[in-house]
Amino acid sequence: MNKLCSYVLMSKKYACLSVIVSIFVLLSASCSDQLDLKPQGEFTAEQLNDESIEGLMSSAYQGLEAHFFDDNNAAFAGPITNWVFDVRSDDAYKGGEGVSMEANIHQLEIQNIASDNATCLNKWENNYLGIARVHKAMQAINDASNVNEKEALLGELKTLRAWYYFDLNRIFKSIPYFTEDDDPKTVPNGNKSREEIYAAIKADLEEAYAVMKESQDQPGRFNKYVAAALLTKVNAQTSTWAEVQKWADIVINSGKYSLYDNFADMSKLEFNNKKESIMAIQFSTANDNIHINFCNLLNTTRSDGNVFGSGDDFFLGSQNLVNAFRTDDNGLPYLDGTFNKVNVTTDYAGNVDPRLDLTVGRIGMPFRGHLYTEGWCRDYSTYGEHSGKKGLIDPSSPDMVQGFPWGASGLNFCLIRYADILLLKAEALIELATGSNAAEDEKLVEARNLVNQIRQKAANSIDGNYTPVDLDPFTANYNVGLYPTSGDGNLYWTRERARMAVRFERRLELAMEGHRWFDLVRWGTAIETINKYMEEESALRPYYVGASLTEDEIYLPIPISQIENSNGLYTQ
Amino acid sequence: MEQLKKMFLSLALLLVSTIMYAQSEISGTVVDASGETVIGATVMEKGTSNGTVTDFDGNFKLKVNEGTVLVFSYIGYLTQELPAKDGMQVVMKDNAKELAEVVVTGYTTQRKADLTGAVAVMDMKGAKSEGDPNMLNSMQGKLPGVNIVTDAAPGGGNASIRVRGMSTVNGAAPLYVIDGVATTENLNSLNSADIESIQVLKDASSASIYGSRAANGVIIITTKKGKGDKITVNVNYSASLNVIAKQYEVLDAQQWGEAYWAANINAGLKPSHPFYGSGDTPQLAAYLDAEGKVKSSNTNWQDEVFSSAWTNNVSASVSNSSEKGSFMLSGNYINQNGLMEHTFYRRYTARINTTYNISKVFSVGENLMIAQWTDRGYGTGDDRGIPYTAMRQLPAIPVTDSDGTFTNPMALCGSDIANPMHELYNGRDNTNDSWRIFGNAYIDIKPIDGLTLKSNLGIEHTQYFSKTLGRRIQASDMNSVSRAYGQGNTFTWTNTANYLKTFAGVHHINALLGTEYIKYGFEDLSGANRDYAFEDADYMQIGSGGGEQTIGGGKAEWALFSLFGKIDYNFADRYLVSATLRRDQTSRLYKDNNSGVFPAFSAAWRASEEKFWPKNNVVSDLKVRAAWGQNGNSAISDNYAYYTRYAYNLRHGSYDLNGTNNSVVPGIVATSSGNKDLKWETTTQTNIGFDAQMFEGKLSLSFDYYWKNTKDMLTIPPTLSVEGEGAAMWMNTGEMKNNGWELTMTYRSPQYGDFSWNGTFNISQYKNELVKFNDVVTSQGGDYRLMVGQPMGVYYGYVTDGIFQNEDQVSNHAIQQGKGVGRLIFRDIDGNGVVDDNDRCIIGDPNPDFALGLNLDFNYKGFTLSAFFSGEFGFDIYNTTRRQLEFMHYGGGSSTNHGVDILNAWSPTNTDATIPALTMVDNNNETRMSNYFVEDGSYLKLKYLKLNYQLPTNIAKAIFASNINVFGQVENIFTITKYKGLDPEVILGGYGARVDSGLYPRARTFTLGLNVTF
Repeated sequence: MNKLCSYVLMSKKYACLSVIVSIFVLLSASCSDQLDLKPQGEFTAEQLNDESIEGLMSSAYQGLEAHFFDDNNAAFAGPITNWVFDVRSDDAYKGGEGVSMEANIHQLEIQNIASDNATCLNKWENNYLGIARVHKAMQAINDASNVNEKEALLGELKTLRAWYYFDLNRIFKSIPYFTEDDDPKTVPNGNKSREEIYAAIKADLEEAYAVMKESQDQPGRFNKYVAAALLTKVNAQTSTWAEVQKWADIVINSGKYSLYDNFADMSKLEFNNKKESIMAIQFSTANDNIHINFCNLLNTTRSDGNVFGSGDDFFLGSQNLVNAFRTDDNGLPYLDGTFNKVNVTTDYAGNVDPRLDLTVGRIGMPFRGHLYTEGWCRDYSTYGEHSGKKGLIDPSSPDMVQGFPWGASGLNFCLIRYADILLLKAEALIELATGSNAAEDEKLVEARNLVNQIRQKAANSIDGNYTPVDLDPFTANYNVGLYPTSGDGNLYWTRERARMAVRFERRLELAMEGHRWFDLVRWGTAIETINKYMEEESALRPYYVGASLTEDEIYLPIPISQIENSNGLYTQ
Repeated sequence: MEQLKKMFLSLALLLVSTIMYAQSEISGTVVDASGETVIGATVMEKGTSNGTVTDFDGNFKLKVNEGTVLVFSYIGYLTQELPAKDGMQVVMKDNAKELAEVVVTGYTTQRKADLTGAVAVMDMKGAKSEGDPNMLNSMQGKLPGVNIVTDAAPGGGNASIRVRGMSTVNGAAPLYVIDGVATTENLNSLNSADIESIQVLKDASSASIYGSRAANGVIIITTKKGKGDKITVNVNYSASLNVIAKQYEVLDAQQWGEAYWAANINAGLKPSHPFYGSGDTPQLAAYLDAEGKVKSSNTNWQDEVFSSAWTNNVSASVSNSSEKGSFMLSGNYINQNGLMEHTFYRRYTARINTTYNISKVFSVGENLMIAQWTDRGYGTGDDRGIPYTAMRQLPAIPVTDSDGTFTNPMALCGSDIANPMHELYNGRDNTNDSWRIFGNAYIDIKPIDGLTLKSNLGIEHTQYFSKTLGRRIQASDMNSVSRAYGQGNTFTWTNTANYLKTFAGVHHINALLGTEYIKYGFEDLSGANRDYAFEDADYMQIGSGGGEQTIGGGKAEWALFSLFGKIDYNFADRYLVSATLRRDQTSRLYKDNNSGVFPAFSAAWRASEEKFWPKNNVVSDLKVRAAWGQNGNSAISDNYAYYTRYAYNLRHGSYDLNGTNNSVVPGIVATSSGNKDLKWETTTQTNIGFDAQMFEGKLSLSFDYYWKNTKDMLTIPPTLSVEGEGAAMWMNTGEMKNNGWELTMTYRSPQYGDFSWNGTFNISQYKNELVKFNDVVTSQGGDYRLMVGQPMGVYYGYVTDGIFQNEDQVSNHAIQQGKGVGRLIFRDIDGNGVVDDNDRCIIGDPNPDFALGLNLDFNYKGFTLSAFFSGEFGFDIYNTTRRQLEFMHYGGGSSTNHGVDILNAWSPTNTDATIPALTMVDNNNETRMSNYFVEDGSYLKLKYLKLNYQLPTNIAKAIFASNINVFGQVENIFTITKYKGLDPEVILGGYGARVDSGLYPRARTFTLGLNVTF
C-alpha cells in the first residue's frame, strides 16, 4: 500500500515535471508565432500600387500648403506665401505684440540674418519636403504598369517641383539641386550654380508645358498655362526678357484668364480659380479647418469686437507702403520718389489710390464692412495701424471660420496672378525696347497699355457700395489715373519713366502678396531701397535704428541645423 | 586522493547511520521576531552533518534521531539550539537585522545577506508624503542612485525617475514589477498603504533576469499579505493642508505703469497705453473699458489662482493568515484638491491578496488591485500654462467686471493671455476618469522537496475616458466638446521552476528556470464636436453639438517571449556566486534579429565568515561583491520599426484638388523607413561593492561603484529635409557611458534609557557621457541638447559678460548687432570680432555632481521625531521664466506683467544692476539662449518633519486596539538654494534637461494623521 502510494506520489511528481517540460517546449514554439505583429492603421511599402498614385499626387500638391506638421509655426515661419519676405522689404512690419513675439521674424525685419533663424529652416524644409513628395509620386508613376497619361501627370509634378526650386533658388545662398533620379543624400549644396538651376527649372517647365493638359477637370490641378506663367516668372528672374514676353503671351493668348472687375475680388471665395487666378494654392476648411492658410494664420487683424476672432495682427503695412499709394492731381503715383515726403495718416487730405484701402486697414476707414479703429491695432505704439486685408474674406460670410483658426476660410492664395503676368510682360517690353520713349517704340506703347489696364481695374474698384465695404469715398479722396496716351503722353512715357512706372505699379498692385522683396533683389535695388527705407522709417519705428542690409545678407544662409545634420555634405 | 577516500568513507558512514539508528521525520517552521518566515535558514542535527534549509515558507523537514538537538543558524540571527520536535516553531532572534531582510530579486526571493548585486531597499517606515497619492514622491532622495523628481500637480503623475543616470537617450523609465508582474504604468494608481516593500535592482546582475526591459533599472514592489494568526484590522486617516510655498514677486499696477513708461522712453518711443494714457507719467484710468464696467485694480493674479487646499486620505485593511492560507483586503480613498482652483485628484482603490494552501503540494493565490481615479488639471510647465499666465497677467485688470463677469484681457489691451480665472472656471466640468485593474493569479506546485513550480498569469487593464469642454472665452470663440477613450490590456504569463536545496549543509543551491510571454495591446477613440447652443455641462454632450465633427483613434500592440534561468550557489554563507541568462524575443524587431541574450554573473565573498576573521566587534560582517551583466532596451516609441510604412494623412497630406473650399482628396504620405537590421540596445554594467556591519551592527555601510556602458543605442539619426518625410529610421548607433558610486550609512544608537536615535545617510554620484550619437551628427537639439562627449541635456547658447557701462566699452566690443550702453554683452568666444552662431557653447549641465538624502529618527518613549533632508548639488536649471520676469518687451510688451526685480534694471545711475536697461525693443536679441537664463540649482531641502506618538498600550486596549499612533507632519519645510525660481526641484524634460517654464507650484503641507490597529 505504502509502495503504491509512493508510486502514485512519484508519478505525480514526474507528471508535474513532464508538464513543465512540455509547457516550455510548447511555449517556445507557439509564442514565437505570436510575435509577428503588423502595423496598425498604416500600410507597408509593398502595398503601394497603381491605385496609390492619386493619393501621392494629392499629397504632392498639398506641399503647397506648406503645412506638413501639427506644429503650425513651421508653416508660419516658412510660409509659401512669402509674407516674411514682405517684412524684409519696405512693404511691411512684423506686427503682433512687441518685437519679441515671433522674434525670428523681427530679426528678418531688421536684417539681422543668422543661420539658426526659424525662417531659414522652415522655408528650406517646407520646400524640400514638397520636392520629396513630388519625387515619390514621380517614382510611383514611372513604376506604374497601368496608368494613362503618364506624361501629363509627370508634367504637373515637374511644374510643382519647378515652383519649389524657383522659390529656394531666389531665397537661399546656395541649394542642392536634384531630380527624381538622384539620391538626395549625396547631392551637395551648390552642385549647380544659381544660373544653372534656373536653366534646369526652365527646361523642366518647358518639357512640362509640352505635355500638360489645356485644362483640368479638377480645378486645383495645374494646366499647361501654369507652366507657361511660371516660365514667365523664372525668365523675369534671369532677365531673359524675350522669353518673358514669349511665355506671357502664351498665357495671355490662352484666353483663360482676365483681370478682376474689382480689385477686392481677390479676397472673395467665389473667385477662387477664376479670372486672375493662374497658379493658386487650394486652401479649404476640410478636416476641422486644418487645410486653411496656416502660413498667414496669425496675420488676422485683431479687430475690436472680435469680428475676426482673436486675430494676432501680425504683418502690417509699413507707412512707406501706405504713402506709396498717394497719387497726384492726375491720379498718378509719385514716381520721382517724393511719395514718402508726406505721411498718409487720418488727417491726410490728398489723393490716394483705392487699392490702399483694399490692401491695409486705416483708422477711420471701413474694414470689410466694419469701422477700423485704434482698438483693432494690437500694439499701436510699436507697430501702428495697417492690418493686412488681402487674405481675409467678408466676416459676415458663412464661409469664414468661427473661432480658431481666426478669420480663416477656404480662400485660395495666388502664387501667380494674371496681373503679375501682365506687368511682367510690360516690364519685358520696356527692357526690350530700343527707342527712348513711346513715340519711338511700339513696345513702350504696349507696355503702357498693360500698366493702364491694371490701373483701370483700380479705377473701376472705386465703389463705396461694393460689399463688403472697404472704401469710403467721403473720407478718402480716391483718385487713380491712367498714364497719358494722347498729347505729349508719348514723350512723357520715356523708357526710364516707363521702367519706374511699371516697377511702382508692381508694388501697388501686388503689395503684401510676397513679391516685393524678390522684385527689389531682381532689380538690384534692394540694398539701396531697404537701407533708405529703414533709416526713414526709424523715425516712426525706432527698432529700425542702426539696422542695415548688406550684400551678403540678401540671400538666406543654409539653415545651420541642415549643415550640422549633413555630415559635411553642405557647407555655408 | 586521500580526500576522496575520506568523502567516500563519510558517505558510507552516513548511509550506515541512517540504516542503523531509529529515525523519525520531523517538520517545523522558522520565523523571525515579527512573524515573517525565514527562508533558507540552516537546520542541522547537532554534532552531525545531517541538515537542511528552510524553504520559501520557512518550513523544513528533516529525518533525525530521536531526542536529538537541532541547531538553527542564519546570517543576521543568533544561532539557537533546540530539542527536535515535530511541528516545532522556531523564532529566530535578530543579531543584525539588516542582513536578515528578504529581498525580491526577480521571480524569486533572496536574503539580503546573499545578494551579489546592487539592490536598494526603501525604508517603508520612514517619513513619507502622507497626502500624495503617488508613492514615487515619497521615494525621492531615499535611495542612492535613484533620482526622482516629482511634479507637484495633484496626483503627482508626472514624476520622473532615473536609476543610475541615463543609460539611453530613449525614455529612461525603469521597469516596475508589482507582485511579480512587470509594468511601465505610472505608480499613481497604487495605494501607498498596500505596499509592503520597494526594492530597486540597480545593477545588471540583479536586473538581467528581466532582460530587455531592465536596462533602466527595475523597481520591485511587493504588496502586503495577510500574516499573523489573528485577524488584524488597520485604519489610517490623515488630513493635509497644502499651502502655496512660494510665488513670483511681480509688479503691481502702479509699478507696471512706471516700468512700461521707462521702457518706452528708453526705446525712443512716446509712451502710451490704453490703461495708462499717454502723458508724461503713467496715469491709471479709473475704468479700463469705454462702458465703465471694468474698474482698474491691483490684482495679484497668483493670489487669485492659487489657494490652500485640503487632502484627505483614508485607508483600511483587514488581514489574517493560517496554515490554510492568508488574505488581505484593503481599501483607500484619497481626495487631493489642487492649489489651483477647480483642480483635484480623487482616487478609490481596493485590493485583495489571498493565498490558499490546498495541500502540501498545491497552493494557489492571487493579488488583485482595482483603482478608479478622476482628476482635473490644467496645463502647466509652459508659457500658456496657468502658473505662467497667473504670473504674467496684467495687475491693472480685475478678475471680474462690475457685472461679475470675467474680464477679457484680449479685448481690453490686445493681450494674448486670457484671464486665468476664466480659463479655470471654463474648465470646471472637465473630467478624466481612469481605471486600472492590476493583478495576478498563480498556482504553486511543490512536487518534490525543494522544487517549486509556479505558473503565474498577470493581467493589467487600463482605461481612461476624458471630457474637455471648450467653452468660449470671448464671443467670437467657437465652443466645443472633445472626448477621448482608450483602453489597453497586458497579459503576462510566467512559468517558473525553482529548485532550492542544500547539500551537506554547506552547499546552498537556488536554481530557477522560466518562460514568460507578454502581450500588450492598446486602442483608443476620440471625437470632437463644435458649436453648442448652451454651455452648461448637462447640455454639452458630444452628440449635441452642431458643428464639424472630428474623430480619431488607433491601436498599438507588442509582444515579448522570453526564456530565462538563474542559478545561485552559496558555499557556507561565505562564497556566493550567481549566474543569469535570459533570452528575449520581441515583436518590435524583424524576425531574423528579434532575439537577444542577456547574461550576468556575480560573486560575493563574505570575508567575515572566514576563520581568520578577527572576532571582535569592529567589523562583524563584511561582504565584498562583484558583478557583471547585460540588459537590453527596445522600448522605442515605434512598435513596427522594421516596416517601411505609408499612411493616408487627412491632416497634412491631403489636398483640395477639386477646388471645393471645404473638402480634400485623401493623400498618401510616407511615415517611416523600416530597418530590418534593428536589434536591441545593450547595456553592460559592472558593479563592485561591499556591505559591512560595524560596532555590533550599530553602523552599517554599503558602497557600490559601477560602470555602465550602453552600446547599439537606438536612435533616429537626423535626416535632411531633402530626403523628405518618413526618411527617419531607427538605428543602433549610439553609445552611452555612466559611472558612479553610491554609499549608504545607517546608524542605530543603543538605548539610552528611553531615548534612542537612528540615522540613514545616502550619497551618490554619477557621471553621464554620450560617447557616440550616430554617424551623422555629434549634436542634436536646441537650447538643451545631446552632444557627443558631454552629459545628456547640456544647455547650449551664448555667454553674457554683464552690461555695457559706457560708449567706449560698446565700441571696443566685437560686432554685435543691437549693442549699446545698458545692453547685455555677449562674448565673442571665437575672437573673430563678430558675435554670431559660432560663439555659442555649452553653458550648463542638468546632471547633479552628487545627490544626498538624510533620514533621522529620534525615539523617546512613545514619541518618534523624524526628519528627512534631501539635496542635489552642482546642477543647472534652464529658467525660461526669467525672460518674462526680467524683460519688459517679452511676451507681449504692453499686455503682460513682469517681475518686481525689473525695477532694479540697469540705468546710468544704477550701474551695478544685472538686469539690462528696460526697453520695448530687443535689437540686441537679449532673450536668445544664453547663460543669463541658466542658474545653479543646488539645493538642500528639509522635506519632512514628522512627530509620531504611539499611545500606551493600556489606552489602546481601552478601545480594543492593539496599537494607536497619532502623528503630525510638515512637508517641504524649507529649501536652501540660490535658485531664483520657485523651486529647484524641476522635473526632467527632454534629454534629461531641467527646464523651468512655470511648473505647478510645490505646496507646503501640514498633515495630522491617525493609525489604529485592532
